[in-house]
Amino acid sequence: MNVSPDDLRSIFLFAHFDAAALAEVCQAMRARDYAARALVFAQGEPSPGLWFVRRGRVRLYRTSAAGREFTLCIARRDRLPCLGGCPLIDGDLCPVTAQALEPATLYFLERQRALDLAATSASVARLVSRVLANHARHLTRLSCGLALRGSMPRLADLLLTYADERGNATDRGIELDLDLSHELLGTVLGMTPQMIAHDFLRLEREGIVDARGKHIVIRCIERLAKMV
Amino acid sequence: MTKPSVRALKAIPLFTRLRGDVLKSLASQVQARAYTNRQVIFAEGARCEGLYIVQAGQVKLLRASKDKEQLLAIVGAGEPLDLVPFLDDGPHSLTASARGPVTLYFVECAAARALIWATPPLLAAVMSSVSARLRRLATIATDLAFKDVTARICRVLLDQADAEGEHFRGGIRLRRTLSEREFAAMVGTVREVAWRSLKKLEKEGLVKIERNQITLLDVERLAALA
Repeated sequence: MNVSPDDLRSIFLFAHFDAAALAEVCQAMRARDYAARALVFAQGEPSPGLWFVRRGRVRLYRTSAAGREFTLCIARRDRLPCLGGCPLIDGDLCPVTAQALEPATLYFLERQRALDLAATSASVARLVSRVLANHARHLTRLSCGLALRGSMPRLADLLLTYADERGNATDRGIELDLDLSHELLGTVLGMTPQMIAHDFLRLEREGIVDARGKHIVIRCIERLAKMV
Repeated sequence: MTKPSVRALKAIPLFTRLRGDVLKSLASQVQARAYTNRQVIFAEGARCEGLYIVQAGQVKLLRASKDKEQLLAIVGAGEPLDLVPFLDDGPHSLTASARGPVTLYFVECAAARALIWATPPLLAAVMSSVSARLRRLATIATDLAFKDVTARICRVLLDQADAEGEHFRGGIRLRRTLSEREFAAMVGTVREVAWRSLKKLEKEGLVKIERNQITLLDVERLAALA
């Protein structure tokens, strides 16, 4: 499938591209659809290029020898939308596995085309550098969160992020719907589903949060923020 | 302090592929800056003042939260400190602190940024360095999520053995160059927990801890635990 400039511009990394640069990238790109849970690429495989998430969410994760999964990032159109930055630059294997969490559309740019464009187009070079920087900042925050914070502050931080992004203020507090199961949440926070359930129970007992499945009411956001 | 020679700059991995005239122009813009032990060179979140490369000594790259800190890397001669701000014009992504007396090459931010973006081999080297950091960060994060403190200690010891271990018939000898606090911060825990795990490894006969050195006695078992 071809990619239109308007569609591409809806991914924030391309928002400042001029028409000529956008047209050049569009010509080199192809849209690919993925079903829920379909693999985009796997850890340890050679990477064929760059992907940009247009629709849906894609989880980047690693699997331990014991079969546990840890999610390093959930890519979506408005947050860390580009996959494959590292192997594009160093030519090495994919450091993670990418899996669509729901039906997703990704724009694909073949590796050599991406490198050629980065060499000739200042806009594309800026984009690639920004992608690397965004991921470096994200992973620095993530690893420090894991090293310096216990499970509860990590969960509290995630709930605050959700509250910022999708919370609705009601007379009960700030209401939001999580778009991750407890199991998936565990792989994002480096916790087991049991630990997640335990921490939610504690937050409920302390009157900070009401949790009914994926529907969360943050009753006291100030106290939740103090836990981070 | 004197300015570096073109030859000295050429020896820095980031600059190896630069042409002589570019290096000559760069040499005229480089300042040498000295820092004392534990002096903060820049702090996480601070505006990027310039490009820093270690000339001599060591620098700790870390993130801190309340009274705890995570040591992400210790960088030495020829290595840059934080290149991320040159890719996105953002603030520093971590804190850099001198580990002992340190001398750094420094290029003012606007000049460094202009040079990086006007010199494709330098931009490629910067991207490559950040890409390597990304891979290292992904491994650090994954280890923190998957592995317990003992496993992470084994990994730090084995990495140190790879980098600077002295092999002999009875194992691999490591100089204790990290303080207990630094070692714990590298492992991603507090000093007491790291020390307890290290002593447990000693009790099991995997390592021998002495005042100035740690000897890895059973590398295979350490690798299996890591």
